[in-house]
Amino acid sequence: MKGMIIVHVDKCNACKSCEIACAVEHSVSKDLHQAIHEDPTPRARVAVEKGVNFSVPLQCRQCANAPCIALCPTDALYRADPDSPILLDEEKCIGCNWCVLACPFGVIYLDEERKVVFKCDQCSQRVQRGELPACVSACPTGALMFKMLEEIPKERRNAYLVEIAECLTGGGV
Amino acid sequence: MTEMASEKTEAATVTVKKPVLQVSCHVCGIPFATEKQVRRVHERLHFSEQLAATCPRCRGAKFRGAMEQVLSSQEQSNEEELNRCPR
Repeated sequence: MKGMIIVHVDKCNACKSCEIACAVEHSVSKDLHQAIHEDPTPRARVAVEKGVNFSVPLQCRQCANAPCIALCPTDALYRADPDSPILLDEEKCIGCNWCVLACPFGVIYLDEERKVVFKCDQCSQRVQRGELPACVSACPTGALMFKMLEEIPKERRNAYLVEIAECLTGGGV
Repeated sequence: MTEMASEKTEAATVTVKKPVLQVSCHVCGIPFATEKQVRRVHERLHFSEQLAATCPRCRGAKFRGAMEQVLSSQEQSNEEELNRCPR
């Protein structure tokens, strides 16, 4: 089953707990105090975007027809199965930056030091163990939720996507 | 023969640095990609010219802005509905 990280923007107070939890989860030690001293410094795959009226944590939306996968020249970005999140094979990544340019949401980042990209993998290892993604379990206000796609009514999803697409293409922003 | 071989090796390691013009983001104005890269994203992924010429950072901000717009319009319609309800 495909999982999605849902954001309740009205509950987000931009505390950035999700960013810290994400960086710690993707560190070698998985411990905050040790992760701070690690080299290279662990990076967060989620970024809290501050707006006028509200803030929102943005991470990979796991697009169905992912443009990042389409443009990756080395197949470093892939899906293990049709329902899995988009994963990165660091051994194959050459840091060419195509996926960064292809991402319509700007949520793939290039690590300039290591010359590899990094993006949200929905903490696939944690999810396989039956745990929630790190950002979701760290959120103190419940602004982030992890839900299976089947739990969200299709009509609601489609209506929301249509509205977002209209706003993005209408140039109103 | 040895001289020739060493010359060949040196020739192989010569790197030519050519200045490449970068396209500036149409939102923030910071150069972020070459013209060829932007064109390829536009043609291959069928992105609008405007989106292709927006830097990844501004794309995130744009998405957040679109969400803000959708939510404020939803809030407005909810308020209108509440006002219409007989109390």
